Amino acid sequence: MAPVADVGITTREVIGFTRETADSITLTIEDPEARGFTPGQFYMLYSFGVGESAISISGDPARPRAIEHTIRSVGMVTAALSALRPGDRVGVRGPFGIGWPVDVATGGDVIVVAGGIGLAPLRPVVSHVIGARHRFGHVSVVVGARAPSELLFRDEIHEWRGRFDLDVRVTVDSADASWMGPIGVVTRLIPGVEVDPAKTIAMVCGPEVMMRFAAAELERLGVSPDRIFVSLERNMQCAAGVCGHCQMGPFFVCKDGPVFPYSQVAPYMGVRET
Amino acid sequence: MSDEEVLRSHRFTKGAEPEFVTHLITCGPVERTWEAGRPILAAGDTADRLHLIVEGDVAIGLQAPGGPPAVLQTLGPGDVLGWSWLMPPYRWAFDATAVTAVRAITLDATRLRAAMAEDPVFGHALLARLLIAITDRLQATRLQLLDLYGPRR
Repeated sequence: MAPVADVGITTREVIGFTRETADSITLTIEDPEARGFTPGQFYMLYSFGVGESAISISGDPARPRAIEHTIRSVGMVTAALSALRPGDRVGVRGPFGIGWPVDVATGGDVIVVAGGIGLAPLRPVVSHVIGARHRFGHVSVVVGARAPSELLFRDEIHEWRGRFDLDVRVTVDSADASWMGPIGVVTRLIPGVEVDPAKTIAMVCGPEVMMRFAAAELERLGVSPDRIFVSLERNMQCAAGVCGHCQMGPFFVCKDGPVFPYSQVAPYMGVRET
Repeated sequence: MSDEEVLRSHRFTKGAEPEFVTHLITCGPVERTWEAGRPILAAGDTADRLHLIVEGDVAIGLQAPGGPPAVLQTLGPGDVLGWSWLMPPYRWAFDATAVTAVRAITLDATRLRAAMAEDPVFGHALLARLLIAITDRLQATRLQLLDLYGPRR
């Protein structure tokens, strides 16, 4: 069962900072209560005097006292959060939302498909799987980035690739001659993944267009849409399914998601927001 | 594995009728290998073979004047390389270079075109499979053009 969110805001100390790429960083925030989280859940992080933003948890669920968030600086709030350093304090609410179906996936095969910053909410899944590797079958991690310099968690991916029990594939959309790996969109790597579709759970996160095409490739492999899970991003404000900002069809992304079975949300993905 | 067994296990022939593979076999499948860094196809050369990649990675690109070659995409095991032999003037449009050691089954284009003309059922089946590969490549290129991970516009 997912940890119950604390709706009230509390202040926490930033205890770690890592620069991932030119515009992305990882903050580690202390949770003295060690309440834990389910991979895929998120926190509302508040930069005092600037504003609040929903940020997914990117750390290892086995480290509940040190909650990691990987943040891409794209606006005022994320820029302010990215400027925090160890010793600074930040407002937090959470953890919120329905996470990845790691329990359902236990005992079967797993495909993780991540594009860009979408690797952040999927990193806890990979950490969880590695921590309980004997409980899963064939595990594939497929990662796409815009360029080699924009690849998140490079050292960790290098470690994953060194394991004999993980099939890790990485591609970039463009690269110079120094990049020796695949070039092309992440969806092109999916047909090469070995799966037993009937016992596979796929977890996909990235830009919504990418997720739709990834889901189509997974369906071509034989994975049914109710075994494909996607994490959606909408304008989340209250994080409790009250304000309605993140409503998508009959769902509130903050409360009913952000992780959904693709079969449930496919009709609403690609619908133009007004 | 024999060339025939490799052909039958390749993603390009997955789910195909046995006659389809038998037809391909009459088109002279030959296994070829390239060391890393070696050219496989060169833009402007005669497009004379269909390549089915079995092992290794292949970079598709073009030589840019005054600069290093621009790599647009890479292909890997299970992918089809080269369909310019289908349409006149039968010349490759891009360069293909082995990124790693590459092994492929290649088929003679002249014999493929003759077999397609002689047996429209085979011709349709081959075109349908090539169209899947071409569509996949086109969609991937469109997604690349969208620059999905770039700044929001």
